[in-house]
Amino acid sequence: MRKGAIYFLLVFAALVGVVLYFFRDRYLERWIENSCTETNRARVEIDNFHFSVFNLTCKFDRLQWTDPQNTWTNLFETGPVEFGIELRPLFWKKLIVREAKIAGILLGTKRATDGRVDLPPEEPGLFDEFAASIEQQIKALPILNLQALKQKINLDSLVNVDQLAVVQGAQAIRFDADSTGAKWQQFIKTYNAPAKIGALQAQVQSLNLQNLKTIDDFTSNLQSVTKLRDEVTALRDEITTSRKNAEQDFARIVGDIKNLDNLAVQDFNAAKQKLGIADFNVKDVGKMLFGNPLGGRFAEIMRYVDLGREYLPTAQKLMAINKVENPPRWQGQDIAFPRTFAYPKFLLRHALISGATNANVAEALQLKGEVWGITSDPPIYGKPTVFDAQVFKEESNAYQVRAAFDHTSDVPKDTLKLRAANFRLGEVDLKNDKAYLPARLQANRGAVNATLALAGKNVLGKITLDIDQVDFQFGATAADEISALIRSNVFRPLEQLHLTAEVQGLTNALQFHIGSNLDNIFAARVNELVQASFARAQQEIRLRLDQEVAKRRQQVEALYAEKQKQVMAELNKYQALIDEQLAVVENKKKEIEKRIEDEKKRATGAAKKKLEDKLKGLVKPKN
Amino acid sequence: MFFLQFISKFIKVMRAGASPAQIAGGFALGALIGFMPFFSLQSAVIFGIIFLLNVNLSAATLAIFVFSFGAFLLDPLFHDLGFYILTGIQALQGLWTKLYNMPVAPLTRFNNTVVMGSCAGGLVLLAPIYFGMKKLVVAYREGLETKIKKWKIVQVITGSKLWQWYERLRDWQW
Repeated sequence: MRKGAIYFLLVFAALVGVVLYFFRDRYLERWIENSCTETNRARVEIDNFHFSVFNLTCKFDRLQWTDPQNTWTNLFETGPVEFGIELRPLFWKKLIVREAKIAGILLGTKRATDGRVDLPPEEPGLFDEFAASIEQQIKALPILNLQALKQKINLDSLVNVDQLAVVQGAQAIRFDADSTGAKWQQFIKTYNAPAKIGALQAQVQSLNLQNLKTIDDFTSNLQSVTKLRDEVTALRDEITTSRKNAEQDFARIVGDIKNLDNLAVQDFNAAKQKLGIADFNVKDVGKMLFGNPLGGRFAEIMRYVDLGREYLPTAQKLMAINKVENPPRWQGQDIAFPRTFAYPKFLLRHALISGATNANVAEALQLKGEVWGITSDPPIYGKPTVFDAQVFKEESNAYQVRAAFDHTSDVPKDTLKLRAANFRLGEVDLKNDKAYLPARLQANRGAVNATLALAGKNVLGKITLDIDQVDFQFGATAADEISALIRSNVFRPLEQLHLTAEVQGLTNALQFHIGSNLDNIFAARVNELVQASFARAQQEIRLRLDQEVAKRRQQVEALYAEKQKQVMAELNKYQALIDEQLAVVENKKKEIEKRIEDEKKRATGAAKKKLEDKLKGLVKPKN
Repeated sequence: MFFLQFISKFIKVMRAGASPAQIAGGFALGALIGFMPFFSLQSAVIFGIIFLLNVNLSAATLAIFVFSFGAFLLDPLFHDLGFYILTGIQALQGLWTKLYNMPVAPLTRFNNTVVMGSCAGGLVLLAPIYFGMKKLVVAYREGLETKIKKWKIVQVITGSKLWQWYERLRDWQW
């Protein structure tokens, strides 16, 4: 034991302590930045971090949290922040923040440097699925080309015969019928059933039962007949199987011919879509008018839910121990074990927050509120993360926003509520580029009530909007009479708008519906204006397509009938022949068996008689 | 240069100055540190033990270098071993859970697969390294040195200019 080493170690420990004390701020700042950057998948930067060892408080001047979708913009940045941490959990390597004041939050600020970091791509989250589902539904909406209805339809350019699904389908059937017919003709030729049947027939005819006298003759012939019957049966089975296969092949072609009707419907819808006269339904009106802005709002909310899902993992995610194959050297993989001690790895118990959407107070939305229980381990903390805030603009009433992220169990449950009365709406971009639809909505004041609830991947959301003094504004001047009429008769007279948007279902297969007091008026007016033109256009397209379909159908049906008849006639003939031979052989076999039976009876009778005679001789009374 | 100085010092120690047990003890404890990721609580503790016990420091330092390189090569193996120890042995689950929830223990990062794998590997090899090294020192002092000096590789190294330059510097009177 080196006694001097104790002094050395003490001095060394003191030196390490001094170095750590003086460099702790830089070290901790770097550590927090790296951890947050890894979680955010984009750079997170902290300015002038300071940790007071004696008071156990931390403060920093600014935190910039890069938007991973746009790395030249911050998702948010904060002003000076100060918070106290609890001592005891540090021995468990846990960071518990008692109370924080986060002031001067600004959303969407520009960054001086690119905040991108190179990390492997992430699996798509709820937001991506949700946004894709909404976008798909808006894209699937019918596009009305009102101008086209007034013009004479050029059917030749609209219905390109070679491109029609029904024509391509008919060509495929022709090819199939030809190749199926050829395949079976080839089979019939190479199989050479007549020769095989003929050979068996000769063998059957060579059997002459009249010349058979003894039991032995009958027995040896019975074996030959049985063998012959097996051969005939095998050939019959082969022919039957081939016939059934041929029937199946031709049945498939019949199915394809029947499917021509579906292809015709597909062609009809495509032609209507091309002309811009797809079926117009009242339920689509809301989505056509307000789908883009409202779908976008829902998706925006989902993005925040997605962030919550990512940063507040559930028990299931925390305890998942799938082995990481080949982690970087020295890094390994951290394995999580059940926590019996109630400290989460990170917990911010309570924070007061205030900020704005941008630095210009007159234009910005102001934010003021509180957050409870932001944690890296919700199941351990056992309470949901709650966010309660007021969002308001100068000279306008506030939006009440309340969100709860309950990730304490395996299935995350999130709710978001937004409510505002008598708020100033201003101008809303409706993102429509059709001449008959408004491009913007100008309104005075309104009330909004929105709720969004998610359990796992199940979404239930509703937004209701009541808006006063509505004024719809259009992008370009009306290019046609119908558009002008729709503008003046439908949109101009409307003063109040009541709008309801609903989403329901799984995030990747949502039912998205928007309804408003405009729907019926708009649909009725459009139908009234364009009904006659609609019907005429549809009839013309239908007529042209029907002609094409009838022609193709006739051709393929004739071809099918010809090929099927040829092949099946041959196979049926062989089937009849072989069945006939089998019957003859069976009869011969039965006859031999009967003769053997008779012979046996006869022999048994003779032997019996002989025995009786002998017995009679033995017991004859002596005279 | 530093490394050559180090080897030279180690060879001197091998010849005389420290007992075989001291050299082997230093070497084995150094190997344990070398296997584990460098900045960890347990490495600091073993460092303390090396300083406190009367083991040879040159041997420990050389072992840290040599076995750190070995650990780099064996990292995938340590990951697999650590994963098995942490997740595959049901009987130990209770112990890991208890440690996971104890104060200070999480600071050792015992729940990391590489830390656990390398620590287990180092502990298993501790005794063979100690006894192997002890045997080697005794053999070296009993005549192995003369044999080693005749090895071609040793002759090439000691005959090289770099070695001569190093010897001149070493013997320089500052």
